[in-house]
Amino acid sequence: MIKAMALPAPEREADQGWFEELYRSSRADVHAYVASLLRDRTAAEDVTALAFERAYRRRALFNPARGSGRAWLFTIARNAALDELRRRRRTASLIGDLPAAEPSGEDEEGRVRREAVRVGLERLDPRQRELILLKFHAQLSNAELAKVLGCSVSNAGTRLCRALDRLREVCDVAA
Amino acid sequence: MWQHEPSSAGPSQEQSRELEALDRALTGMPAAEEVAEHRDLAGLVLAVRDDAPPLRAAFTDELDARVAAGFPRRPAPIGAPAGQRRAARRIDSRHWLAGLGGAASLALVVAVVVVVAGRTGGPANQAHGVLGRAVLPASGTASSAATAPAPRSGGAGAAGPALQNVAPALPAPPPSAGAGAARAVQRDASLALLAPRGQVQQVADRAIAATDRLGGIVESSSVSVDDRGGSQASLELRVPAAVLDRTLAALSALAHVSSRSEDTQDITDATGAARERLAESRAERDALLRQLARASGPNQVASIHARLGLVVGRIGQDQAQLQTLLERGAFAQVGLGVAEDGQATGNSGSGWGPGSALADALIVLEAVFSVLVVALAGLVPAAVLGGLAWWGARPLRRRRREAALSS
Repeated sequence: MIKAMALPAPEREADQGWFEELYRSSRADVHAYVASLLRDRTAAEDVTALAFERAYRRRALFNPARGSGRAWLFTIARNAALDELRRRRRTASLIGDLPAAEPSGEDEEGRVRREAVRVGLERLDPRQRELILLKFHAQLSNAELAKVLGCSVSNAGTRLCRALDRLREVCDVAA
Repeated sequence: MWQHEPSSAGPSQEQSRELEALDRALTGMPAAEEVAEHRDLAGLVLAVRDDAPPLRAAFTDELDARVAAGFPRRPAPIGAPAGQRRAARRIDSRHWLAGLGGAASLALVVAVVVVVAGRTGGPANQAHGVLGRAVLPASGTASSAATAPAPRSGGAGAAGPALQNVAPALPAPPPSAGAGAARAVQRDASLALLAPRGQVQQVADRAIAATDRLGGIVESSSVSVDDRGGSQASLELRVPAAVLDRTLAALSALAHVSSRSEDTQDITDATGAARERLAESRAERDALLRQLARASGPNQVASIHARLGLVVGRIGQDQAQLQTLLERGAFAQVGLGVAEDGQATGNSGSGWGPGSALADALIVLEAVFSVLVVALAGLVPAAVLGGLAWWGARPLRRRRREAALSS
């Protein structure tokens, strides 16, 4: 994992300290990843809450030897988000527009770059977009990313590079 | 699916450097030493992360509270968001599982009770079974005595066919109140005892000793051990009718009495009839002897001799039949069954104390263990197959999930 986190394994099921630390360090990133993927604020909040609840209920099953707590949490969040996407496809409901974040004090160049990145992400293949969002928001190492995706580390790295290249291309076009 | 996309031989050196640069950008490390084409990564990371919507303060507060409370379960209101509804359904399914577990536990308890009831009823049933085998010949003899007296001890074998022919003419009369002391009565009894575990042989030995002490005889005895180590004994006793009550009292004191029955049959008429037939045969013999003494010709002598032979044979049969009836009136048949009482541990076999409770507990545990073994025999293969199916379905589930990204 890239982000410096020293999360101790839960010694007892009743011990919430480990989970609360994981929650506080990753709730914004989980929400950002889910919201960027679903493009729906309400659904993003539901799925974020559901992901943390699932993680809480399954925290006794977490095995630190198999990966970091953050990778485990993002695996749960990703599954919940993909399930929500599948449900939306079944019910043929449209994905709502997510209002863009407006950082305060942002200059014109920054606003243009952010707009270009947003357009570029929308033009990406959904799988590449999801990979970019997962990598950028979860900040997982490539090994952890491969575990979340269920592929080999080299496979994850190669696809991440391709997704980055593609993002650069579409961003240039958008800019 | 990602795994199915071509991955070539992994990232090239250039790609590896780019991935390292990306990791540095994600952690906010300076990119000064990066090559020029990687310097945009920090901006890209910043733009992507900034593009995500921030957490609403209200949602954050609510989620903080739920985490602090340990995600208390709550029913999802109608019209609640999809996530809450799914969570509620999941909780409902847990309630279903809890109910299912309760029903399974109840079924297990019922099974245990049934098994234990079968076990506890077992020894008594075994005693009755033993008794049945012991008594059946006796009662068969007793009932046949009223209709067709069977041969008893040696010497009466030749009387059988003749007695069977006579039997229909001798129905057992109902006992009359005015019969008085002259009435001949046949008494039979059956007794089932439950001996403490491991003491069947001892109880049988005591029963034999008591029978000898009271002047009775043991016609047959057998002690058997079944495949589970339980033993049972079957004895057929004959005791003087006068001491039958004392005999039963002595036998009943040996162990817990699970059943006791007595059978009384009036054989006065049958005995009187046998006595009359014998007297008639003897009178006929005496008459023939007198005729023989007066006989003059050889032909007459030969004829009387032939008739005399027949009458003497009939006298033997009549004597045997009368002797049998007299013995049946003088001796009582007692069928004794002794079975092992699984619950009894003391001498009385009728108390329920710590020992009995321990025995009950062991029986319950044995039954529970047996049920579990049987259940595991079905559940373990099912669980293994289910686990394999679940493991094998993981790629399928992942593929189905990621299919949502293919739109």
